[in-house]
Amino acid sequence: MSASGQIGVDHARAACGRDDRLVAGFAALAIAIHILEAAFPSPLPGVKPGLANVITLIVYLRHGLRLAVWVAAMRVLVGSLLVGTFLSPTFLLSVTGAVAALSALALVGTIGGQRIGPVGLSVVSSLAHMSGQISVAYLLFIPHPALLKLVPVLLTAALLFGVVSGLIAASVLQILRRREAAR
Amino acid sequence: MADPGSQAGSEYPADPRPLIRGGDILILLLAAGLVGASFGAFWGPRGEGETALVTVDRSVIRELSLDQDGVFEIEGRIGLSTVMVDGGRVRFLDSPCPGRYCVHSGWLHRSGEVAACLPNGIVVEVLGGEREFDAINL
Amino acid sequence: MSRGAGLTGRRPYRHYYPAALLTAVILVGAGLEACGKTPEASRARFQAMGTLVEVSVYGEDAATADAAGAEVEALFDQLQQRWDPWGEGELGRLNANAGGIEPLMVDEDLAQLLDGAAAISRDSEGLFDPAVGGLIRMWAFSSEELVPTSPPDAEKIQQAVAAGRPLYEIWRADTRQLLLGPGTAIDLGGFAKGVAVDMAIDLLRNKGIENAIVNAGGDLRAIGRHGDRAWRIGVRDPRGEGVLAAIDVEGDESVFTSGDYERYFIFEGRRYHHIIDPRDGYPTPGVSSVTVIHQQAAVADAAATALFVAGVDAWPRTAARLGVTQVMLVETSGTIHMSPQMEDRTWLIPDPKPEVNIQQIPAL
Repeated sequence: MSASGQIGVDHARAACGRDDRLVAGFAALAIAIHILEAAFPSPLPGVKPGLANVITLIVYLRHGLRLAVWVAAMRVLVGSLLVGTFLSPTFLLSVTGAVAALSALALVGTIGGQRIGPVGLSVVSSLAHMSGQISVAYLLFIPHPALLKLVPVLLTAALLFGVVSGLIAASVLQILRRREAAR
Repeated sequence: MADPGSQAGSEYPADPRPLIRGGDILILLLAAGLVGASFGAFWGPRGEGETALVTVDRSVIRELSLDQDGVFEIEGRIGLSTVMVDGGRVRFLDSPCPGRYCVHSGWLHRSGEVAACLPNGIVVEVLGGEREFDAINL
Repeated sequence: MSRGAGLTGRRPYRHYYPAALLTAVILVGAGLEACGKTPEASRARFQAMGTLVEVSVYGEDAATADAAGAEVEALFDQLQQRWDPWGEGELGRLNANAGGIEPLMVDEDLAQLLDGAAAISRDSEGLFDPAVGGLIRMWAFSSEELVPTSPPDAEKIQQAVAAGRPLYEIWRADTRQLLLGPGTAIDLGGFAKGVAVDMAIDLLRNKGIENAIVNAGGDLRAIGRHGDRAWRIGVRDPRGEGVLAAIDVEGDESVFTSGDYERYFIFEGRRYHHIIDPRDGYPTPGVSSVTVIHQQAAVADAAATALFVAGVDAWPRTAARLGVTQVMLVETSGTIHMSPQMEDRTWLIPDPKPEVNIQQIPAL
């Protein structure tokens, strides 16, 4: 911390407490979606559209990558413990999906800056989420070419879900912004 | 990069940005292209054979395109065998061999699949695309 | 950089850039690797022992692969001649002596083959029995040239079954002697092909070839692997067209299937196939195919026949007696029975999935 000192330190301290609450709150939301999603039918067991990424995306856009990573990690860990898939292949697929989605988010978010909004980011992270999961499923679990036949279907689903979650995230962000501006 | 100054003093800009921005459109187009290309890449001729190679006593007699339906007569050692191509598949329809195992083999469509009428010396093999299996156990 | 900065937006995250880029490159790289093509195996194909034989070799130049294929072909030709039950070879001579007075002494090669066949015949309690050659001939399944059109006379079948004695009772291993009763014969189908495949694999190994498949009419032994992946084997669907199951094979394993779908004839609406139950002289009902995975091709070959004859209820016991653990049996109804060891490695292709029944192989 440097010259502008006092204010910055206070800010950081406040942020520290706020961070924890933010992570907990957002993670709880994401976990709820994660569990709902576990009941979602998928042609490949464990490969999911990743709707919980809406929360990751909102946190990323409002509070930055670090908190988004925390929320995603909490979601994957606690979610899988609750659904009962901890350390199972499904868990590994969840981790892969989250890591791929966050990496894509960080990469495109950094390059694109303000030119790319929630919808674009959501599509990119959704496609990364799905590609990561398919790659791991193929390389580790079912290394058979017939699985690859599912790729176009799964990617199409990911694109659609990406657009939808992006629009949801954009709307939520707007509502939050308006409220804060009104205050 | 957006001008950082525009956000100065306020964590979140008061004016709501449009739901979909210019960059989003670009990303959507790229993503749609990628997904479209995946259909071509994974649903293309992969695994499905493209031609049926007909050999009699090891010399190639005909190469039948599996795109063109038809019934073909092949002269073998002991007579005429009939081979049929239909909807990307190929099979022995009839053969002068006693056991008719070749006819029992049924339709072939995967690259690498083989049916043979040994008494007549005729072998039909599906070629092209990616081989899904190194061997078919039967 | 302060924590506070993290809350104001996403611009200051340049220090994440290299990590993110690296991750992206790794992901894309993994994707390309998965889709990338590896070089194909070279194949040689020829006709022997009544089937089409294919030798696939991976990781050798074309000349080596061709030469290996030619040597395997010569081997198969030689074995076919020696083991043809009705030909001029050693086995034909033995069968021609059936009903004679003096037992014949056979050469060491055939004796070794008969030793192996007799052992499996005994372990399978006669369900696999090469001494039913007379019956097979009666059914006209003994040769490609014969045309089976109707079942033989029921009385004749009964006589043959009553007079028949299993190989393990008539083969005198100590003196290498065998005397066949009148009308009986040794048919090593269901074993000889396996032995030939085993010998072909030995031949390839002696030439320094480590990655190969010898596929004799769909029954195969695979060694090594296909470059960076295992050998991929498709098991044919005994009823529908196409492939029922995908199995990855590497190291050294044989996959053999006995099925009712290739050698058969229809008489008065009933299907008669070529796998004859030595106990009653008729094709075993209820089973479409049995697939066995075992290291040795000869064992897999004979076991597939024995388990087919054992049938839907008795196969686990026979498998245990033969020391075979990986079995898939398909009923004529389409229901699949598998040992857990088989289920672990089998990927069923049809959609919707057929009904699968997992059956433990008992400890004896």
